[in-house]
Order: sequence, then structure tokens, then C-alpha cells
Amino acid sequence: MDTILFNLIWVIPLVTVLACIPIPAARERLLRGIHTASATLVLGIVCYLTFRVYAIGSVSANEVAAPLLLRFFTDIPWLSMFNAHYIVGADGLNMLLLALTAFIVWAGVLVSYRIKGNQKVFFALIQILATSVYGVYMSFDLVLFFVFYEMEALCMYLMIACYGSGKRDYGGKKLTLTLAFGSSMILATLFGLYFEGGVNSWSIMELSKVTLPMEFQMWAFPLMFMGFAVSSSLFPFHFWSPDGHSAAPTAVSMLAAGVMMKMGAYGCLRVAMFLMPEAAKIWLPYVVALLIFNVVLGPFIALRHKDLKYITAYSSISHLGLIFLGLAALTPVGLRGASLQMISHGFLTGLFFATIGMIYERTHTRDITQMGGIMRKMPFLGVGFVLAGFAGLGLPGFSGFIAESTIFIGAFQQDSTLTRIVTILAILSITTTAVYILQTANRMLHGPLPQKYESLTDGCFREKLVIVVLVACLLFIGICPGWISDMLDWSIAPIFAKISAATQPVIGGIGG
Amino acid sequence: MTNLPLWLIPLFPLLGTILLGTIAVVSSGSKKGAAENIVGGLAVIFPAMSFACVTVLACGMPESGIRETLCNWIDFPLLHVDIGFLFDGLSRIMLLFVTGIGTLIALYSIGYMHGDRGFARFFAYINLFLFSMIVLVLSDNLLLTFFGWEGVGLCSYLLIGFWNKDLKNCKAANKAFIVNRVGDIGFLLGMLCLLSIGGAAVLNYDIFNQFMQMILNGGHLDLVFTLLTLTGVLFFVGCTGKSAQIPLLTWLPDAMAGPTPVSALIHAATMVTSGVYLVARMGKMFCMLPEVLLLIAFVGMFTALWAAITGLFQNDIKKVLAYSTISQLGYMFMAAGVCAFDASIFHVFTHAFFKAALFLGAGAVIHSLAGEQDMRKMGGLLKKTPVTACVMIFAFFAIVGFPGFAGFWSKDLILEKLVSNGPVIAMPFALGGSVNVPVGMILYVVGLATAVITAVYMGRLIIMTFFGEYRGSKESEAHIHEAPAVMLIPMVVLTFGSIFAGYLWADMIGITFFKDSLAAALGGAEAVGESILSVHHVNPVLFAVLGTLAALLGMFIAWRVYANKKIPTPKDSGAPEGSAAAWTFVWDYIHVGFVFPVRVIAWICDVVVDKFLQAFQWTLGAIGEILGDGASTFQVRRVRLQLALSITGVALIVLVALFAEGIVGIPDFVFKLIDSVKSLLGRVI
Repeated sequence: MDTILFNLIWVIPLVTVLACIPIPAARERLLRGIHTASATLVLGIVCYLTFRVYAIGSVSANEVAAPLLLRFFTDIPWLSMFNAHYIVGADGLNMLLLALTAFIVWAGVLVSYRIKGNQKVFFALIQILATSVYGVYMSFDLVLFFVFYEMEALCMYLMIACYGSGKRDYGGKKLTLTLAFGSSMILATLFGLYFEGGVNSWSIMELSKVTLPMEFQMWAFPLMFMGFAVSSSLFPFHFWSPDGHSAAPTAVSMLAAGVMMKMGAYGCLRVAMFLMPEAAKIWLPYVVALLIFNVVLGPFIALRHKDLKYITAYSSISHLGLIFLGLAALTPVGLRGASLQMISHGFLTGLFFATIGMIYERTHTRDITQMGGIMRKMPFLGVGFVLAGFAGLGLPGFSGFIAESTIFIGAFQQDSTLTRIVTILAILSITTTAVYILQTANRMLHGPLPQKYESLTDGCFREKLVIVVLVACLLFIGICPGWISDMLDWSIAPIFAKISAATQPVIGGIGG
Repeated sequence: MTNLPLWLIPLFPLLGTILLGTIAVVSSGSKKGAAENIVGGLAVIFPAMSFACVTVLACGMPESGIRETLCNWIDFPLLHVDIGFLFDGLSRIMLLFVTGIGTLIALYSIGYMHGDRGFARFFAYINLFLFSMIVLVLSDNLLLTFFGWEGVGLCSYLLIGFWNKDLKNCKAANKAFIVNRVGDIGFLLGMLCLLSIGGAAVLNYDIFNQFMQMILNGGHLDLVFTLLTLTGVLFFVGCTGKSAQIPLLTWLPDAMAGPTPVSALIHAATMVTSGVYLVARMGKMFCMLPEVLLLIAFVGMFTALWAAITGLFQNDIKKVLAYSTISQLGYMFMAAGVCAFDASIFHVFTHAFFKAALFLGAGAVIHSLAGEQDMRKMGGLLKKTPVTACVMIFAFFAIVGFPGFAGFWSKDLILEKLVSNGPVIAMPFALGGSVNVPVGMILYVVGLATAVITAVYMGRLIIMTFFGEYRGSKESEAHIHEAPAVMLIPMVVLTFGSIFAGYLWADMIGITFFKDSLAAALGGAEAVGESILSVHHVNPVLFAVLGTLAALLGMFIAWRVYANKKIPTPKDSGAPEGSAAAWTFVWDYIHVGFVFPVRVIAWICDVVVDKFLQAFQWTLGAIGEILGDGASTFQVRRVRLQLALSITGVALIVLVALFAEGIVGIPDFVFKLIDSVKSLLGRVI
């Protein structure tokens, strides 16, 4: 029963899209209602399943799903000509990421009620995007994984180019092309994995049982890691994110920053690091060196920008840097912190972009120098923004603090000077984060109110609901992280076990 | 009666926050706002209930304290933190005055904030502040303390920027938060260091103390000494942020932009003393680190002196009090720096009363003058607001250390401890040999000088405000009125506190109640410190006499200088001056000196690194595009041209292939041609 429900997660959005085809585009209320209901239904299912996974705990799963302790495991032959299967399942990490996605999709549907243009197509695209993201977090077959992974970039382009604002064509193209560049690297290594693995399978479980040849790992790991890291905006590949986010409509920004950017980090952990742990040990120190730019550059650049979405995009870059810091530390605490940060940051940016979108809908500008005093006109939205800001600068009580401090502790345990230096830099950059967030809040929310904003209104019930739910999630993770860390605990354990068991072969030339 | 659960204490203000916050949100749309008497009643009742709980618990507390673990908060392999509370001598005394003074100030605020648009919001923040402060003090581990630590910082930010119509207030709030944030990084890094020394559970205070004891007994101190010293310094950096010590002190004077009850509660009595509390709480560690202790003592000394001097030049009544707070905090750190943690907590305790009374008095003055804060426009208020004047004058006697008042007992105790505990350090000379520097004596002399200056600037404040002639405008004089009873009652209660609080530890008349109550919580640390610092006992009466003389001297100077001085009326509109005495306060410039490099780094990051890389990316794109365009220009619809191009291409390829394979030799004339071109070029150049 639960397994069927689990498979419905990605089916329901697609069915909704199909069901909406006969409805004429003019009946916007009906369409919105259907899509909201569908998103709510999925949210309900995901929440129920998350509770189930939590309740079952870490008892060992069936034999095929080992070594990953997967729940709701389904394995059906799919494309027999090259042995691709339809394999889905979820452990604690996947389930939490699915829950995050469900929340963000639900919020994204709710905030898009007043989008300009053909709403029928827009909501259909959101649902397809949702399907692809759910698919990525569910699939354990590399072909299936890649299909879902590719679907999302395409939807994103259409939505940005058709419904975006500002330089939407440029932003959309930049985003899609950069992501496609990353995907091409991933695709190349996926074939490598299949042929070098020698088990005639695309299944992550099967592939994890073999040790891939070292010569292959040495070139495949960086290629694949970078391919995934492109979508998480690791340093040299982060340019797409500010332009892309700023051009995108609210819901797409929320999904892109909140969920899609985590797909990269998730892929790095689940595919690259899990399947090629030997090379990971050699290559990850170099990633740490790149992170200096992420954690230091992000906040400082955000300091100089005036556009709300640029500021948030650069803050996302620095926060995602922390995820990679946790991954690259290769300690159990670090990995846990990284996965916690994935979830925490998802809610955080979701809230950030949601409030920014709502404010933009009213003020028609995102330039903070043009605004002022709008806290008095929209106290609710203003408070939502400030809360997102405080969560972002890591105030205890919000999820960010738990996740960040876990990462710091995890990274500090790593016995390497470079990692420690980067950790200290990251801790120092918290101050910069505080500076740009408070400065932004000040300029935007306080001070004298321009004449043209006299008639602004506060958020309506629907918008308030979104803010309340997202803030509640942030607070919940921050105040009782035990609940979530339990689930992450046993989910991360097999991955860490595999990585720590990997012996580092002596290879001349690189690393060591 | 002692089986009250500890979590009730923070629960009440939390409930208050939620309730008042809801009221504030719901009523934000309506024109009138929520009914003030209901909101005010709620705002006072929750802290009062919390105070009642603390009192009941305080009376029946066993010697070793009460411990209570609610639930697990974080449980990772290398980090185990519970949500647990520790109610011992130290947290008892802190909680008593935090909740007690918090209740009084909430009561006072009902009068002060009367008619404000954000009435409910204000009290929601105050309750949130009390909740955070209680968590800070009551928690049994460093991480939960950090939770409260950040919580009070947040509330301080919210309340400084409470009147957010004026961007200046918001800037002050930002400054406070950001400067505090710098300190918090010290705290965070300190915790990291501590974790790497002591392991997962060391953040718990009990385990922390055991661990430190183990290091001391086991003689392993030199193994971890460097890292432990670093930890101590980092934690102290955290304390300098919250307690406004050099170099992170510039935020506190600016924080006076908030409503006056806030200044009294947060920026004088409670929050700013949490740094002192933390040092005392971690005394077991600090007492083993003589270098760090020396740093603390000297930072305290310089801060005390510097702030006192700056206080002399302020015209804003609240800024004088702000600098005086910084100066008094300096005293507390001086005491902590010579391992006299109980004396520093005692000063925290007495200071809370008289400084809160002073601030509330100043608030009453400002209230009666309809928002005027410039002392040059006051004067002669003794006759118009006698109760306020009495409160302020009694509190003044307390702060200068007039015999019998609270400050007399605590400040003289600190001065005495400075001499008796002060280390003597051998300073090597550059030319060889060394000289013994009596650090305690230096600290004492500066402390005594600071006491004189304290009396001068406080005397100046009292004289300018309450004596002489009224210097404001005629029409404003008519409106001057005494504050309402709801404001006066807390002021009078605090005045009694500032007179009698000192008698809890009056060594000279043989009362050591306060010391004994702290002994269980701090005793170990003090004993260790005293054994390291080689304490010699001194006669307390001598110090009392000298301290009294200093106070009298200062009052005398103040009277001579300011009593008959013609005070020039201010030229400007009388708005509170931002940095009127910035020239004494070099620290502001130093902070600006930090802001500039940040801008530069931001510029480098943005323009040099980011934009440069983008330009690189664009170049790649452009090359791709040009190549694409170039290729497409050949794709024209002219069959003959296309054919000619293909034939030329094929011919070229064939020729190249032939030459390359050596099948056809390159004819001589080609070489000759090349030679002649070369010689031609040579002649031209």
C-alpha cells in the first residue's frame, strides 16, 4: 500500500497535467483549484510516508534494497535493450528531500495565483517540473535518474523564458545551457559507470557492490562531481544562478533555489561519492580549495548588489558552499550536516524567494534603493522576509544554525589544515551575511515610505499561509532537529561506511 | 515547595511572547490597536509569575543546585547537547534580578509606552527578551546558552530599532547586531576549540567543570595549554561583544536609540552583563590561564577608564548613562581578571539596581520633557519632579560608592580584590635583567582614578539635570509633570535596591551572605585562581576609606566645575547627537577602519573575480558565436560560388597532403621568394 502511494508521488502531478488538458485556459480559477488540490494531495502523501519512514526506523530492509536501507522499493524491468530498470525507493535522506520538494511545490503553486500569461501552461509546467524533481529523489537507476534530471532543465527554460521578468531570455538560456553543460559531463560518466562496472546494470545498489577500476575513477569522479556541482553552483560554475533566479518567476526561483540546486549536491553524494569513494578521497581536497570562493565570495558580492534576487542568489551560493564543505569533510558529522543543510536551506530560500516575489508583485521593483518603509504597509510580508533573513544568518532556533554548526563541527574534525582554514573562513563570513541581510532589511523595510507605495496592501490569506507554513518548518527543524537527524543518521551510515571502507590506492601524480 | 519544575521559569515569558505577539499581529490592522490595559496587564503578569517561580525555587534550593534535563536537543556522534537547566547559586542570583527587574521595568513601560502604536509589539519583544535571557542564564550547557545569547541579541536589535520610522534607529540596531555578531564568532569558535579538546559532552557545564578539574589534577595542563588559552581568548572575544568592552564597545552608546525602558533593562541591567556571567560560569577554565586573565583585567581597566572619560563630554542624558554602563562593566571584568568572580557578580547584582534606577529616572525626565534628551536644555527639575530627582540622586550615591550605598560595597570590594589578588609579573628588560610589575597595583590605581571620574560625570549629570535654572523653552516648561504612579513605583523599588542591595555582602560588618551563596557554584574556580595568583590579605577598611575619598573628591570637582557654570544653549535643534564625543572615542574610527577593507574586499570579489570570470565566459561564448556566424556566411545560395569554394578546398587539401608526404617537392622559387621577402623586410626595418 505504502509502496503504491510512494510511486504515486511522481505520477499524480503528471496525471493532473493530463486531466487539465481539456479544460479551457480561460477557466483559471478551476485550473488553479485543481493544481492546488493536486499539490496538496502529494504533500499529504509525502508527509504520511515521511512519518512511516520515521516510524520504521533503521530496521534492515529487504535484500535487494541493501546496502542502502531503502523503503518502498520497486524494481521493474524497463528498457530491456540496455538493462535499464525502473527502480525507485527512498531512505531517510530521500524522504526528507521529497518532503522538502512537496512543501516547496505546494508553496510555489500557491504564490503563482496571479502570474501573468497563460496560466494553464504555467501550472502544467510547474507540475512537470515537480515530477522531474520527485523522480530524481526517488530513482535508484541511473538511466531513470538521468531522464528525470534532464527533464527539469527544459521545464525551467520554458518557464523562465515565457513567464519571467527582466532579462528573461538571457537568464533562461544561461541557466539551461550551463545545466546542459553539466549534464553532458554526467552523461559521459554514466556510460563509463555502466561499462566499467561490469555488472550490466544501471542500478546504484548493484554498482555500489563493485569496486570500480582506479584509472576510471580518477577521471570519472571529477567529471561527474563537477557535472553535478554545476547545478549546485560550485564556484567556477555559479554564474547561471544569479541571472537565472532574477529572471525567473517566483515559483521557479523557489523551486530552482530551494529544490533543484540540492539535486546537484544530492547527486554528488549519492552517485559520485557513493560509487567512487576511492577517487572521492583523493579529489575532494581540491573541492575544498574551490569552496573558499563560494563561502567568501558569495556574502561579499551580495553586499554590493541592490537587486533582492541577486542578493538572495549570492547568499544561496554561499550556503550551498557550506553543503559542499560538509560533503568534502568526509566525516559522519560533516555528511549529516550537509544533508541537514540541504533541507534547511531549501525551506530557507523557498521562504526568501516567496516573500521577495510577493513584495515584487506589489512594488514592481526589486531594487532595494527604490523601496523604503514598506514594513508599515505590509507588516506580515516584512516580518516574513526578516525571519527568512534571520534564519539565513544562522540564528539559533532556526534550522540554519543547527545545520551550519553541524557542518562546522564536522569539517573541523577533518584533520587537514586546508579544511580547517576554510571552516574558519566560513564562520567568519557569517558576519558578512549578517551585514548584507540587515542592510537589505533596513533599506527595504524601514525608513520613510515613498509616496507611490501609500496604497500597498499586506499579504492575503493564501500568501500568509505560505509564509506561516515555511516559517513553521524552519522553526521545527531548528528546535527539534533530533527527529530529522535520526532519519539522516541511518541513511547516511551506509554511505559513510562505504567511503570509510575505501582504501586509498597509491597513485602517482595527483593528490595523495 | 521546591519541586517546581525549572522549565516553568522560561515558559511564562514564552507564553507571554506568543500571546502578545498574536495580539500585536491581529491588532496591527485596526486603527486603534489593542486595549492598553489588557496588554499591559498580560505583559507584567508573565514575568511576575516567572519571578515568583524563581523566588520559590531560590528559597528551597539545595547547596549543590537543581538540575533538570527536559529532552535531547542535538545528538550527533561528536556533539551531544540536551535541553537542560541548571539552577545553582550563580544562576539563582542572576535569575532573581533578571526576572525581578524585568517585571518592574515591564510595569514602568506601561506608563512610558502609553499611546504608542506598537504597544503590544513592544511587550511581545520584552517578553521574548526575558525568555531568552532566562534561557541564557538557566541553561546547563554552552550551546543552549548560545541560543539565549543570540536571542537576547535579536531582541536588542528589535528593540533598538523599535521606532523604525527613523532610519537612524534602524542603523543603530544594525550596528548593535553586527558588532555583536563579531563577538558571537568568538563564542562559536571557542565552542569548536572546546569540542576539539574535550569531546562531545564537554559543552555541559558540569562535565566542563569536571573536565577542567581533571586537567588540573592530572597535571596535563601543558598538553592542552595553547589550545585552552586560545579557547579562553575566543570566549572572551564573545564577551567583549555582548558586554561592550574594548574593542567592540561602539554599539552600546548607539543602542540608546531604543525606548528608555529597553535601555534600562537590556543595555544596563541584564543583557550586557551576560558576558560577565559567562566568564564567571567558565571560571574553572579561566582561572587556569593567567595570560587570558591578564588580558581580561587590562581590557576591563582600559574600558573602564576610557568610557568614564568619554562620559564627561556627553550632553545626551542617556549617552552619559551608556558610557557609565560600559565603564562599570569594565570594573566587573577587572574583577574577573583577578579571579574574583564572586566580586564581579556582586557588582553585576548591585549595578543592576542602581543603573536601572538611573535609566528609569532618566526615562521619567525625558517623559516629562516630552522627549527632550539634551541635558543642556534641562536644569532645575528638582522642584518640578521631586520623586524622580530623589530616585536619581540616591542611585547617584550608589554608583559613586558613597558609604552605605550599594556601589560602595561592591566597587570597593572589587578595588580591594585587585590589590589582594593582583599578580606580580616579571617583565624582562631589553637590556637584560627584569623588573617586577605589580599588576594589581596598576589596576587599583586606574580603578580608583576611574572612580573619581565616575563621580565627576555623574555629578555633572545630576547638576545639569536637577539643579540650577531650567534652560528649555518657556512653553515646554509649562508641560513638565511628574511621571505617573505606574512609573514611579518601580523606580522607588529599585531605589531601595540600590541603597540596600550592598548589605548582602558587607565584609566590614561581617555579612558574607552573597559570597556564601555563590561559593558552591564558583568556589572551586576561585580557590584555583587564588592559589595561582598568590593572594595576600589586606585590610578592607583602608580601601573603603580610599574609595570614599575618591567619591567625595569626584563629587567635589563636579560641584566646583559644573554647579555655577554657565551652560551654553545648544545651537542645533537638540536632537540626540550621534557621536558628539567621537574624538575621545577612537574606537568608532577603528570600526570605520574595518568597514573600509570590507568594502574593498567586496569590490575585489565582485568586480575583479566575479566580473572577470564572467567576462572570460562571455569571451568563450563570443568566440563560439563568431565561429558560428563565420561558418554561416559561407552558406549562401550561389551554386557556382559554393562549387568553386569546394573545389578550391579540395585542391588545397590535396596540395597540402602531397607536400606533407614529400611526394611533390617544394619548388625552389618558393624559397627564393621567401628569402627576398625577408631581405626586403630587413631593409625596411
